[in-house]
Parts: sequence; C-alpha cells; structure tokens
Amino acid sequence: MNFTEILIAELGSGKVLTGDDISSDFRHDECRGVSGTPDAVVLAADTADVSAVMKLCCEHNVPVTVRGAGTGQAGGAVPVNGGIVLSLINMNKILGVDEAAQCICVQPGVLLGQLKDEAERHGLYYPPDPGEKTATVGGNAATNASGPCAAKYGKTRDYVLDAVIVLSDGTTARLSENAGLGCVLGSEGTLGVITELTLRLIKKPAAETMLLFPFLDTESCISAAVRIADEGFAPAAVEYMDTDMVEFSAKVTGEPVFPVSMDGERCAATLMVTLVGDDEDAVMEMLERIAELGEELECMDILVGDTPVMMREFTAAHDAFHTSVESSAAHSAEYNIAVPTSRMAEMIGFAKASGEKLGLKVMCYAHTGSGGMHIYAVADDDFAERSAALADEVYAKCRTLGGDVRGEYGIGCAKVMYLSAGEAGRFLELKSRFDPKGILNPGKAAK
Amino acid sequence: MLKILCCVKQVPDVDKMHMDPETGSIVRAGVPAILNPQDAYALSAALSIKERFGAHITLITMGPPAAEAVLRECLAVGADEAVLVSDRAFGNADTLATSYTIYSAACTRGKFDMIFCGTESLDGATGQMGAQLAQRFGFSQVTSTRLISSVDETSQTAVCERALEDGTETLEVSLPCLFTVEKANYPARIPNLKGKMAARKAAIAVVSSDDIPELDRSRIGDPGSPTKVPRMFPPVMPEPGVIIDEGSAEANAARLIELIRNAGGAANG
Repeated sequence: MNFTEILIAELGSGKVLTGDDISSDFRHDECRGVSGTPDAVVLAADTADVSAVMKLCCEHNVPVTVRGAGTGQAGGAVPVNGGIVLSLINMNKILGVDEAAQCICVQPGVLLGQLKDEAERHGLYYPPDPGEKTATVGGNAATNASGPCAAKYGKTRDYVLDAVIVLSDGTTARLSENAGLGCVLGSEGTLGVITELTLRLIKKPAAETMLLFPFLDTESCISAAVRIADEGFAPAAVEYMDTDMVEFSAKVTGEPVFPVSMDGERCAATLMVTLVGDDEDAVMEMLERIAELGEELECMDILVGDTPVMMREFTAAHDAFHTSVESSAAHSAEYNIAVPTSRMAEMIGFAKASGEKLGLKVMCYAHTGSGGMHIYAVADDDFAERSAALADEVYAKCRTLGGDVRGEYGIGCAKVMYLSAGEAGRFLELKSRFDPKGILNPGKAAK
Repeated sequence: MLKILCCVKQVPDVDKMHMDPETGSIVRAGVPAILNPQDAYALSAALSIKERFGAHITLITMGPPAAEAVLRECLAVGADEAVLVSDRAFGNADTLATSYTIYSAACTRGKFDMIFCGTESLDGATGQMGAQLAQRFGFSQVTSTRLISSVDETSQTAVCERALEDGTETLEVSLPCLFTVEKANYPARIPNLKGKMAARKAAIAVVSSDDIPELDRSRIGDPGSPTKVPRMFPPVMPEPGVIIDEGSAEANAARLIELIRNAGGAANG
C-alpha cells in the first residue's frame, strides 16, 4: 500500500481527498505567489483523526501542513513541500459556554465570526480580532492573531486558557498556560496541531464611541496617538489611516466614509479612536476631556461616530482597506510589520519615499496601540522586482527601528528570509524538541 | 432666508432585529433605535442647501419621548431647531394618520419653502410619507432626488436631478417643493465634537395633540389608521452564491469547471 492508501485504510475514504478530488483551494492561502500541491488532504473530524494522521505521518516521514480556512497572508497553510494537508475546517463545533466562568470551549475550525456571535449571545465578548471574521479560531491561535484592539485587550494568546494539542508523533496532550502552551500558540502549525481551545471571554463594555481626528501631516497624527494613549483614556483601538489608503478604498467600495479633506485642505491621515466605558456617562466624560485636549492635538477637527449605524460604517470602511487592495489593484503587495509607535511616522515616511523611488504607490494603515502596520504597494505593471526591492527596504528599516517583521500575519514562508539568524536558530532549537523529524509544516516560520 | 422642514424618523436597528419564525412577530427586545438612514441623506441635502444658499432647518419627528435622541443627532450636524410630535393619542398610526399629524404639527411652526424626506423608512418601508406630505402641503414634489444644483429664493425655483431607472432627469421645479432624497451625493454627515456637545444641551420643542389647533382627532393614531397588518412573515432566503477568486482568469475558469462537474455529478446521482 502507498501512503495515501494507508491513510484511507485508517480514516475511511470519506475523510481523505486525493487526485482530482483535491480542490485548488488546498494549494494556496491568501498569500500571493505561494502555492504547493498536496499528495492528499485529510478532512479531520476530531482529535482522534488528527492523532491518527500525525502518528502515520511520523512513522512514514510525511510532511503535514495544518489548514484552517486558508485566510492566512504569509503562506503558512500552503503545502510547499507536498505531503498531507490536514484540514481542520470540519472540526467546527462550539463545545460549550460557561457564562459564570466566562469561557468558551471550541474546536479549531470554528470561525472567528461564529465565536464572537456565540459569545455575544451569552452576553460576553471575545476581543481578539484581526479583522477577517471567516478565519478559523485555530488559525488565529496558531498565528497568535491580534488586530486593532490588541493594545487594550491583548492578542489571541492572552485568551487561551488551555488547549488540546496533538504532537508530531500523534501524542495528545491538554496544555495550559503554565504548561508549555505558550510555545505552541503562534508557532504557525510547526510544533503541534491545536484540536480544541478553551478561551477566556470578558464582559463587553456597555458604552462605545468612535472618534475621527483628521491631521494635516503624519507626524502630528502619530504624536496625537501617543498623547491619547498617555492621557489614560485606555481606548479600545487607535487606528492610523493614511488618506491615500482611505481614498483608494473608498473608490473601490463606492462608499466614502472617512474625510479626505476638511474645509478644502487635504488631510494627510486620520486617527480613528474607539473609546469604551462602563456607561454612557463614562464615555461622555472622556469626550469632554478630549474636547479640552483638542487644540493641543493639532488636529483639523474631531468627528464623532456614536450611533450604531455610524460605528458600523466606520468599522466596515476600515475593514475594507485590505480587501479593496486585494480585489482591485492590478498588482499589489503587503508588507506587514510592527514597529514601536513612536517610530511609526518615520516608518511610514520611509516606505512612501522608497515606494516613490521605485515608482510604486505606497499606502498604509496601522494599529498605533500595538505598532502593527499594514503597508501596501500597488502598481499597474512591472511589479515583481520592484515590490521585492521595496520589501527588502521595508523589512530592513523595520529592524533598524526596533520593529518585528512578523507583524500580525506571522512568518509563514513569505517572510522566512527576513528573520535574523538568532531568531531562526532559537526557533529551530525549539522545533527540534517538539518535532524531531521536522514533519510539521516544514519550511515555515524558520529554516 | 429659505425655510426648510426635514422629516426624520427613529427606527429599530434592523441589523440587530430578528423575526420569531413561529409567531411572525418582530423581536425588538434589546434592539437599539437609530436614525432612519434614508433620513440622514435627506438631512445631508438640506444642510447642503443651507451651506450654499443659507437656510433655517427645522427637524420634525413623530414618536415617543425617546425619539428625542435622533433629533439631537440631527442637531449635532447643523440643523437649527427640532420638533418632537409626541402623544399617546398619536400611537399606532399608519402612514395616512402619520402624514396628517406631521402636517398638522408642522403648520404650527410657520411656512416652509422646501421639505426634505428620506425615500422610505427602514422599518415600514412604504415610501408613502413624502408623497402624502406633498399632497397635504399642496407642494410640488421630486422623488429620488440625486442632486439639487441650484435654488433661487427670489424666483422661488430650484434645479435638481432625479434618478430614473435608465438615466437621470434634470428638472426645474417651483418652490415650495418636497424632495425625497437618495444617498448618491448626500451621504450621512458625521458630527464634530463641538456640534455633538451643543446638541446635548439644545432645547427641543415637544408638540402634543393639545398643542395643535383644530386637530381632527378622528384622523390621528389608531382611529385614523385604516391600514391593518394581519400577519408578518420572514422572506424566503435564496441559496447563497459562490464567489470564485482563484487569482487568475485561468484558475477561475478551472474552478468553475470543477464546480459544474461536481454539481453535475451530484445531480446525476
């Protein structure tokens, strides 16, 4: 029997896809230019399936690429070395909610949007949100996803109370915060397979208001973000939005929401601040303090979105940035990094100037609380070489500013070359202990 | 100065609402109330007239005391005064009774050159209020207004564009005139913090049935409403479609063929 036949014999033909039955979806994720063809796809139904697959793959030295919804942006779920794609998308059950303990137990294939909705049905809130609601919770945990609210609420890792992990030899273990779980979360499917998660939930703040602060220049905008954070408002999010990004996205969606000019003067950028409080009065008190702070911030105005409709429109317009570039630019690339907030303006200026030298239009948005930046380059033609050159410059500059090239998307295979020798060495040493045969997602996160 | 009346309505946030499939009734518990989005476009058009030609904007809404919130929301972006038409006697009104009540209450505030309405409300979605009000005021009316390019107070005329199914119609209309407004050039305004703070403290005129002289009580509220709704039921939702986005035309075509082949296989058993 060949290996595929062995898999079918173990799991049944209904859970194993081969040949033409393998959809092209399994050959890529949302990272452009990265693809790979698996020898077989296993649609696991439970932890026992995952354990059986890992045991067989370990015995036969077959590479395994774990996959959720395939929404990753770094090629982490792409089987670049062939082997088996282990899809967890059918492991999509919500196993239980404990309202008193404020936690939820889920399988990894549950989508982030479903998780958030389920929490809300119980009057609770799951804060981590990288934006893509159709991503799986397992994928979020594997990449330690964050997003705009990370500065106030933390990243995915901060909400995982415990998890069931299947190791590379098929061994199953329930790991808690104090028992090695931290290593696996964010390891992009290279150390173990997450098959169950118990996640912490919180009470959602009762009152919320979103503010827009348009600025004439990037430096003032970033300085204001730092000032607002220092003033103790504890905003849920402080988003930097480049006006080039706002305009590009509004043109694609046909729904302009954010200002691009005020009284005839073009804004360079806008800060979108989400204030939260225990009640309306608490938020109103913050608004009054911000009104007093207004002139010191040197913004062009302060706009208020405090109605459900307005807040939905702001959020939808912000969420549309990424998809508008992906869907409409003839050629585009994203450079996802994190830098200290105080260095953001410098990073933005550098990326724009470098892009201009290369003839690329560069635009960006950023989470000023966590330093996460989404920098995009677009062009109509002759893109590959120029975007690669810009990538080299942007990632190098990120390092000199004390930033992290992992950003929010992880390393996958798209950013392996930008890891330092020290980072790669530390990771490979850890991997050798978890996965001595190197079968879990080889070529990812470091090599 | 032009006098503008802008009609607004507080509606339930339908994105948060659902229908009980057994009883057919709308579950409103915990559903926030919002400004009818179409009315925000109407107000945006009125503000545009005010900014370009000068005008005084009076807001009017009929509803419970809580409807004051949407009036403050509208005051925050630049409306000048607000009238809340509120009385238990106005409850359970259909469009006929509502238009009579709004008209009667508005007449207590003087005469208007222009009236702005949304094209329809998010909850009832009858789209009748604009036409009924124009009829009651005896005004000309322009429905589905996309743009008001000029207003001449002296000659009492306005030039506007109206959306048609196959194009745009440019009209010169006599004032007074009622306009129902589309979003196209009039997206909802975002208030600034200063306006928001001022609107919190603004006085709102409350008009009850006793405040309207010669009001015909047989034409308001439940007694004045011939429309009855015997049953509500949720619409049947079609099967969701599939978006094919494989990164290239060739890959998209291959995926489409694969889907058709699979569907054919399923159909063939």
